[in-house]
Amino acid sequence: MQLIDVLDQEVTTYEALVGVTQREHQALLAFEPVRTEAVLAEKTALLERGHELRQLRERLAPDGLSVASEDLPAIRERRERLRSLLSALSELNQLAMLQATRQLRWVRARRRDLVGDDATYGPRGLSPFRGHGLGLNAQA
Amino acid sequence: MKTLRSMLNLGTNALGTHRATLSVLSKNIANASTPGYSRERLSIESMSFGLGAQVTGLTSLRDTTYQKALLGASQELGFGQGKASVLEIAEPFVNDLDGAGMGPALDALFGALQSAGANPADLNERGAVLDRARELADQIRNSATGLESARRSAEKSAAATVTEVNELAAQLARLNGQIRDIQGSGDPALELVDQRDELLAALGELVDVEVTTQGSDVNVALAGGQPVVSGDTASTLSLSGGGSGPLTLSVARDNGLPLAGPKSLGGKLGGLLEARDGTLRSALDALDATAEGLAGAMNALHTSGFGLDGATGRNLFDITPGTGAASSLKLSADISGKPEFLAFAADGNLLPGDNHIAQQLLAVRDLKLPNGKTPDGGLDEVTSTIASALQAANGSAEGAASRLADFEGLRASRSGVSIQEEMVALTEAQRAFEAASRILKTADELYETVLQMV
Repeated sequence: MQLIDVLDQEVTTYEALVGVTQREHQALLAFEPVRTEAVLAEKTALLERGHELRQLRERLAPDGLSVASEDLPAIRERRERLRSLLSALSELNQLAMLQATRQLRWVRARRRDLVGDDATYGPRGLSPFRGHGLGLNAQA
Repeated sequence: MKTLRSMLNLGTNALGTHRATLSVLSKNIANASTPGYSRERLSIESMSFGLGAQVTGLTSLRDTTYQKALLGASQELGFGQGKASVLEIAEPFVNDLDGAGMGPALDALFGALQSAGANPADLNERGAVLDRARELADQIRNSATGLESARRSAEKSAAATVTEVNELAAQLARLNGQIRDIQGSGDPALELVDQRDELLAALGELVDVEVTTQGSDVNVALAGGQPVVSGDTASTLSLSGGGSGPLTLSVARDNGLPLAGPKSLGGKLGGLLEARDGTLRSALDALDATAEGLAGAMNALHTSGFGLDGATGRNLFDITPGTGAASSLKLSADISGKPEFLAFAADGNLLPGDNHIAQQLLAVRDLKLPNGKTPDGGLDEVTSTIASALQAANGSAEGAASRLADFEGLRASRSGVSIQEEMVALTEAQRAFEAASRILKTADELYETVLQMV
């Protein structure tokens, strides 16, 4: 496989990753765990593909793309596109991480409220639960 | 950074969804112990052209089938409890459990008459008869007073219940108006709908009502069809009558339909009226009839007899016939404190040994009174009327309470907040967000590495 082909595939993969990360960020923002999980499988596959292509490119251009692109405008063009995509992906990723952290903090706080506070269990005909800080035990 | 701007634009819808979702989750958890709260879920749909997700609606997971069953059980519970609360006041006045009721007093009188009949000239024996006759009159009068007192208590409770019904009706009408306004602006007003359901359940416990929905309104009518709440208008219920007569419920904005009788009125108010004008009225009528029949039969014999002083025509009891007869029963003033005036002799010439009237007075024990019952049977009827009605009311209330608990449990399992379910939802969310965090970190490392190499 030629270096240009690998670069094209990398560009395609990272473009796809931009779309997937947008959807992931949106699901995180919307507090939609199901949609978040659904995106993860797709994202993992694309990341693995990106990793494989990176290794393949390193074998084809062991001195790096900056050296390989000196005399080849086609490679230089793809390299710029790749750098642009990776910058965008990195920023998107940071924003998504921020949202994931916020949502996790909220979920953990709510879980702590529930497990640690007997008073939140209502007398509504359901099995009463008592929190022990170790999870929930049905009390019959 | 076209991609980033585009993503941030897409995030606007997501942020709206996020706020709504967290708000619903928080509200469900906070209201886990709120009676009547129906848990809520957001409906989220993907928008066209990859524009993200949007909230398409907020739904309350209330189950109307169980809510109707709950209303029915509430009405039965209210009826049983209302009736029992009144009969429990009356019951101690008519039972013979401590050996000091009307039945033992009647037995004691006939026992004293038997002894005195064997020694008609003995003033001590005669004095015992007077004492026992006074005690019987006192017991019957006390029982009648107790039953009347229970009726007055029922009347007060009924008046308070009608006030409560009017207040609930006014609140329901206000809520109808508020819900209509809020829903008109697109908000489902689920919290107000929950509040309205709670008020309906409270109203159902007080009075038998039919609930119908019309648009966003619920309309409430009595079992007889009289409107209580129509949209944002509430009628006013009021009681009239009272005293020894029945209480009548009327609706201020009457539509001309006749009001159903107390039995079908249902709820606490129906139970109170049924106890007052049904059970207690029957018991008082039976007591009046027995007291009047007993006093009449004994007076008829006694006035024909002769006292030790040779005089005749004296009553054994004083009584005012008709309604309230039992309340007026007393030992006759003609003979009170004068045992020698007891007329045991049928022939004034055979004094003091003649005991024919004493024997006939004793025979009144087995005499059928005008009400078709013996004195003892008549007093038993009073006791058993109250006792069996009380037992039935308590049984009905217990059955209704049990069904209410069952329905409440079933409703809660459908509509109520299940902490278990909320925990599952939170656990799933935590798992998803933790997985996302891990992969985001991995991706970040990859992007950094690749960026450094290209």
